[in-house]
Amino acid sequence: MACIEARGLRKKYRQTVALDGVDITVGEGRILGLIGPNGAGKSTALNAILGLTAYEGQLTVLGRNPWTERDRLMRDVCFIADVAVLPRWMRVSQALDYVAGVHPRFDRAKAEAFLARTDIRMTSKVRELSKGMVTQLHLALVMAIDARLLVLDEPTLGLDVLYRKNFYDTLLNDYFDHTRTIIVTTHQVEEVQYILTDLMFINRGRIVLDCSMETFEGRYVELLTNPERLAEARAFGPIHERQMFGRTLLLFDGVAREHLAPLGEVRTPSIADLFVALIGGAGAAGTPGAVS
Amino acid sequence: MTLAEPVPDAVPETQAAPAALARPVRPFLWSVRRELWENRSIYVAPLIAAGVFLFGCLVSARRVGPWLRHMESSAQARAAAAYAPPFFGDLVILGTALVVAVFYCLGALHNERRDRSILFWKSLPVSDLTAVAAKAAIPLAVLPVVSLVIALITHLIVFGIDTAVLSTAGLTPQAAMQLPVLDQLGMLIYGVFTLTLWHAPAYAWFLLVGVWARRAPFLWAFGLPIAATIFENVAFGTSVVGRFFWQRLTGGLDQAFNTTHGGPGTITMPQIDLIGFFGNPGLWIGLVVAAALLAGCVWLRRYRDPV
Repeated sequence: MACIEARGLRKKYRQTVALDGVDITVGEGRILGLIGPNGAGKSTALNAILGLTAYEGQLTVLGRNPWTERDRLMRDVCFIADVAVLPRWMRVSQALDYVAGVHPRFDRAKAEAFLARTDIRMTSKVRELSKGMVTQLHLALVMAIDARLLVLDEPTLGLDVLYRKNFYDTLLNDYFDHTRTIIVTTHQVEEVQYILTDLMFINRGRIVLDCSMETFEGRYVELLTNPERLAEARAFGPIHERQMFGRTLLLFDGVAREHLAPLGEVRTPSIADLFVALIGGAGAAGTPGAVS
Repeated sequence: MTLAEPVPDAVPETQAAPAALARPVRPFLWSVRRELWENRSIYVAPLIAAGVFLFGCLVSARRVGPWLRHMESSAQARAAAAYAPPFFGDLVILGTALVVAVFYCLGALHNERRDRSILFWKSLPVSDLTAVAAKAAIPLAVLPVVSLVIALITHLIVFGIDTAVLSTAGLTPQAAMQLPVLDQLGMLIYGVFTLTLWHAPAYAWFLLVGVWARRAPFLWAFGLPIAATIFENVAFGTSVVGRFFWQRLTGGLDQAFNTTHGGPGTITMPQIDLIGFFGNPGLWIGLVVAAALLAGCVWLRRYRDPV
């Protein structure tokens, strides 16, 4: 059964169309990276999935309508919207008390065990914690909930590299068990590349790319070539080109590696490279050599 | 036998329920508790008001003691020292609770949007209805009970001070025992209950403005009624609207008690006007309006996009 099933999902604010008829299917046990520039519609899509905003079109999350059944849905869904949403006046112990009081699937002992590994004290108020510690606290709350879907909207924004690394490591090692589904949006694409199972690019309210990471790795190839082989390489129709220390880096869609290997160094592109190729520049998607 | 038959059917259902829910939860109770964590003024402010009042009583007792010794009539002394101060104390405590309630309502649904913590609250399985109900319960149930309890304790302490003062003044403590304590208690409960019902639409209005206004809910909450009053006054030369709002804010006691007879400054048991209060269509219209405004709060909390 699909965890999230959206058909023709549309959301219009006064002047702007935030989501323009989007189809999304996310299976259970997947880790989906939702990548897009600012204002692309990522947060709107997540808000719709979480029942925080009304929308047009069909949307089912874990078999429920998120807009009409948000409170029921939240028994199975957790989300960390961004680091700054835990109430600043709250004490750590109060946060545990409250979540334990309202959430049927919260395991307090688990949250306490996780917090014991950090420098967070039970008596501290959220406002006294550093940004990284607030994220750890939120993660402790979320990981102690036996949920089926975890939504992370820029969870590591403004954190230093140690906390970011720790965040994703904890998530993978202690939380993800191949039955849970995780959706993550982030600008720090390179940090999530190796944890994702699926990738989705969104731009101007539309899905630009939707594939699994295996497909991504099989389909896209990057070639670093010298100027003398450039013309040969271009014959294969790169979707993006950029200069690098006098050599040229070309990105190909669906070109076999054995054709490219003689022309230079061949490797799997980073998500960031593909993102720039497909979304960076004005309508660069699918127009070979448009960006140089 | 036929009566017993449905029972076996019901058993698997009740057994299945705990299996589906890992732990029992009480979203409403915990939502109210969290309001008390966030807004400690709900009980701190009435306590401070009571403290200030009691401190004043203590200081005045030192002053009144010698004065009482020269008083001829112990009845006069009782009235002066024992009866009037608790009533004034009630007004101080209830008035403080009223101010706390207004500010609480304005901020309750506003601040969570401002600091974006609404995203955290909404990430938990608590419906908007439960959240708004918990917030409405603060001015409609928690604050009245809190202020009532504090007022009653204040009464007891004042009673103790009075007894001490009377006995040191050479008057028999039995005189103090004849004070109408039960009357005071009954009237206090009745007064708080009726005032709360009377103010319910005002609280609901403040809650609604809090969730609706993007900024400065205080200005909107008071500005709109004042603007309507001024407009009516200038445009039509009448002041129906102004009087309506004023009566709603300050007229609670006049509705609950028959104030046309009885001494100034005190209210006594016979002045309780149950029929007048509950027979007043204004009360019921107000309660219907309050319910509608609260429904609006639920709707707005749900529909307003986060942040």
